[in-house]
Amino acid sequence: MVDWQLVKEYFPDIAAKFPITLKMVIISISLGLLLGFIQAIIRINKVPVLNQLALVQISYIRCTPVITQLYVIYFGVPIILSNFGFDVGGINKEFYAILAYTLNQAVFLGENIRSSLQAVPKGQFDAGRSVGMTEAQTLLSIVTPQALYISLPMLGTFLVALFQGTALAYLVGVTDMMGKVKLLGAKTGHTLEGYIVCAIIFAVISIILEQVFRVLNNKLDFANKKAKTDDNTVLRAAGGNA
Amino acid sequence: MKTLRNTLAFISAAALLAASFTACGSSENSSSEAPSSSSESTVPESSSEAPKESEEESPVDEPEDTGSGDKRVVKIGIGKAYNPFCFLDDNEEPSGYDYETLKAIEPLLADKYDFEFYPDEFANILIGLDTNLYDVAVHHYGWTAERAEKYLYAEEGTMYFGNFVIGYDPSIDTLTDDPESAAGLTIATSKGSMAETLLTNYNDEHPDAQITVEYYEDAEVLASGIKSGLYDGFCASVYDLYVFNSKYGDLLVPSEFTLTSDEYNCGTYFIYSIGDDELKNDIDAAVVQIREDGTLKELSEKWLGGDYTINPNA
Repeated sequence: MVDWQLVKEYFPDIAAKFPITLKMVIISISLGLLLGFIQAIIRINKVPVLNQLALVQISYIRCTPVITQLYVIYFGVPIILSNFGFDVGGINKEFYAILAYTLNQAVFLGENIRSSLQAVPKGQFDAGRSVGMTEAQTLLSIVTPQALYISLPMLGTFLVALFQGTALAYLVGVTDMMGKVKLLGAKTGHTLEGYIVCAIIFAVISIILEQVFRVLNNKLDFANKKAKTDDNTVLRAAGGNA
Repeated sequence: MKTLRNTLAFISAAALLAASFTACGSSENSSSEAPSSSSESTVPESSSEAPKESEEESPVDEPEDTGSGDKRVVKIGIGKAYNPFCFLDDNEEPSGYDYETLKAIEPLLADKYDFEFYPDEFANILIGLDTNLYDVAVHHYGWTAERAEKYLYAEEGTMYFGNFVIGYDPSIDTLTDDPESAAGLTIATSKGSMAETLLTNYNDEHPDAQITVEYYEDAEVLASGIKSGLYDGFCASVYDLYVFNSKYGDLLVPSEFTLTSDEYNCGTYFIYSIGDDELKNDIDAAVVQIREDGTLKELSEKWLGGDYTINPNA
């Protein structure tokens, strides 16, 4: 049923589209982090108007599937832009996909960052203020690094989910890995082999990403490391005394 | 945190104010440009008006986008995975019968139009007409009453694919020349396709002899489904059935009855937004020209393996 020779033949063509997937993931997660951080600050400070707008956005993104968000952006943005006099014809389809994924990630990352920021003890903020730092300095230099550390495990999960979620971008005309499978399928009449190649690539990269985040988490696990050091110190001290 | 909150509130107020000014400005622009934007999707009163207005409309465009002189840029949404009609080749450039037909037409209309091609998924192309993303939808579209209500069909077909039949597994021996003998069969079709419309119509007209309609995503899934017995067959034009059998090894035979009659319009057409009659008429005239000079026949023989440019039901 499966033509393994075709799997071999498809592999280089489909793998060559990996940079497009990577580009969508990197840009979406980076912009999503930035927007998510802004959303978290707005939510924590309950900034008038923006807080309400953020709530609407959160509600919309949480309650709708990514595929509908993709279509709303793909068909809605050209209407809005053309009303502002932009020629939307030349816009690369990747733009729409990246915009949809960015807005999606911003909401989920934003809520994650918000809970992480709120998990940092308030005393840390007061400490920063007490040594003469401004609110922004305290937030960026003292509170945020701790919050990012807290949110790191979830960031890894979001990244892997986003990476896999980009497989839908072909629906708005992006020729990424899945898009290439469709093109090869149209040419040869065999798509199953292309899906197998995609499954292999997605699985391998997802496992690598998970491992990277696992290592990162272990490296940054300061609290437990300190505890271990303390134990060793105690043991050494105990041994020394004996 | 109060200072930070106040700063953010101030920034947001300023941003909203700026946005509202921009929106007001643009609404003034759009109201003054309303005739031009409608002239893009509908027919301009005179052909010389549209390009001038489109230039005003997009001040930030590169020169190629507005075309040279008074030319109108025609955005063509075309399929990217429908071999041999419209698909992306190995270099991911548009190719196929529909594409080359338009390329043959392009020089004939070069004084008036610049064609720009935007390969897209089948499901997105007609919606692209609704949202002004495209001016012409090209995906080897057959004629359906539902589409004709919503869009403007070309008058000139570029290919005639023959009547629609049910391609069925030859092990099924209950099918006769009576359409009602298809009752109880599970027939596959794709969403939004011509075949889906015909099957739906059939079920409406034969309440006591219903066909079970199932949907497939691509031809390979269909072939697997037929082999496994998931589907008894699929509804297709005579031409599509021939292509399917040549790819997957003569899995199906055509039914003796057809789902379309001899009066049936079995052509494939370019589709436009309602009101864009001038563009439609110009392209129609060019299609007639390339049909008469033999170009269309050559393209049909090159891509489809025979001359499908003559309407068998005419």
